Amino acid sequence: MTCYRINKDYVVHELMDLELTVINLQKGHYFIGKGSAIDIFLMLVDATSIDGLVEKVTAIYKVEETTLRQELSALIEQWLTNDLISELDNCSENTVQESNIAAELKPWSQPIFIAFDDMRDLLLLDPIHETELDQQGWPVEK
Amino acid sequence: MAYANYEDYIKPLDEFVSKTFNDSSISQRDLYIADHNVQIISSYAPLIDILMPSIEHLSADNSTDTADFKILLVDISQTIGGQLPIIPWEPLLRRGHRGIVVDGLYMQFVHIKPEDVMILSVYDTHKKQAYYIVSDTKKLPWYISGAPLHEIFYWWARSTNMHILHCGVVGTENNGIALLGSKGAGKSTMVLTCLENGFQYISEDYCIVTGDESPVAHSLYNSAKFTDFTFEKFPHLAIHKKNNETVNGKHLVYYKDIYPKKLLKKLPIKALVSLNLDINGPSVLTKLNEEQAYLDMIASTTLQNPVYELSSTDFFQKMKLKITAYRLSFGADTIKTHELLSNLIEE
Repeated sequence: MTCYRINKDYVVHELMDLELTVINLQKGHYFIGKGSAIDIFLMLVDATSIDGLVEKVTAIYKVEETTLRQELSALIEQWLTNDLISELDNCSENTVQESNIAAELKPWSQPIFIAFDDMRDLLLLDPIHETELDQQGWPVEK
Repeated sequence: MAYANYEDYIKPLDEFVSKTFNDSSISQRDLYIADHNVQIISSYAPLIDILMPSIEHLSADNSTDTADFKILLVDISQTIGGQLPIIPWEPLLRRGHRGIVVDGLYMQFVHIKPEDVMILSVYDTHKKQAYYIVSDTKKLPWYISGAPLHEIFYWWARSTNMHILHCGVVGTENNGIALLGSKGAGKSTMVLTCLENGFQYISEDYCIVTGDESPVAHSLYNSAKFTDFTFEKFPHLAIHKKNNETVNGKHLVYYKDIYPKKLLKKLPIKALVSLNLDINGPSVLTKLNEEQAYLDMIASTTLQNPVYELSSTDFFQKMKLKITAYRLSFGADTIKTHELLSNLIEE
């Protein structure tokens, strides 16, 4: 069975303010993960197959399996292309324990995983944050 | 999409800060950091008092009229009118703690929600001047005192061919070793072991390193966060705890209180030593290849610093070629560990 795992030797990650920062230190590339992409990326700390991911994700999110498999396929391809994860030919993985299945599944949250080349790209690509603009004083977040 | 430009931010902020300082009584500290004259000037004395303990070991011997770098502190709650000027907030809010850079102007806005305190940090690379504006000094959480103005020092270092490196640095009068390791690798324990055995102190968590052919480590903070494990190992240090509350079980302490005569301002880096705590194993020092040294330097540094820029990769790729690196596995035999490091420094 084919599994996937984060390249721990040169890929670091940290969760801050509901965003996952991921850096490929060998290439100097920087990524931000949001939504379900955070959970899915962190599931690859241990080697996991696509079927294993489906099982783990559906234990916490309410999502159609067909939709999920399409999203997973795109994410895995992006992470392999950017050398964030590796493919392993043989692996053993743990199945989800009944006790780890959420009593109430979270609504599906679109996986967002953005690659940045420099800080100008960050300004271009980050989603817009709703705020009261152009007023005196500290900003008021809506 | 139209971008906000440098003038959109700096013009209103310059006018606002200038007016605030004209209307206030000023507190000033002169520091000497990384071979530069640095002035910290505050329009509200309690704000400078909170930030100073971590950096006061870098106080300049003589006051100077000309500073290489100025940091101006403002507490909005103490200003007349109590309002920041109009600036384009949207890019700042969009980027959060990672901050933005606009035509050489670095900025970061953070809202520390439990305490409901806001901080706007600004560094102008053209003027080598920074603003640190807080909504209310009284609401700042205690841990701000541990690594004050971190983002501002980070931006300044990057614009001056230097970099903040996440490491401990200790040494003798002439040579230092940089102790690398992520959280829990044993940096605090190793720094303390070395100081207890006669070494001098440059840093525990963060130092400033130069991009020179022979890199030099400069002291930045004399603060540290010790866990209960550290106090069990060094129980005589418990009297130096500065806070009863903890973050992740860590207590703030200042090396200026513990070893006031052991604090140095800079040391050339003789070796990089990547730490590997193995409590039941022997102390062993082995050579480390350059690529692993690079990864060990940048891995924890990039996640500890406020932003990540591609130029950091280049900085540390060059640094790995200039300094020999080692891996130190160390356990309970502190005498043997210190002996290995002493020999390394004296080689």
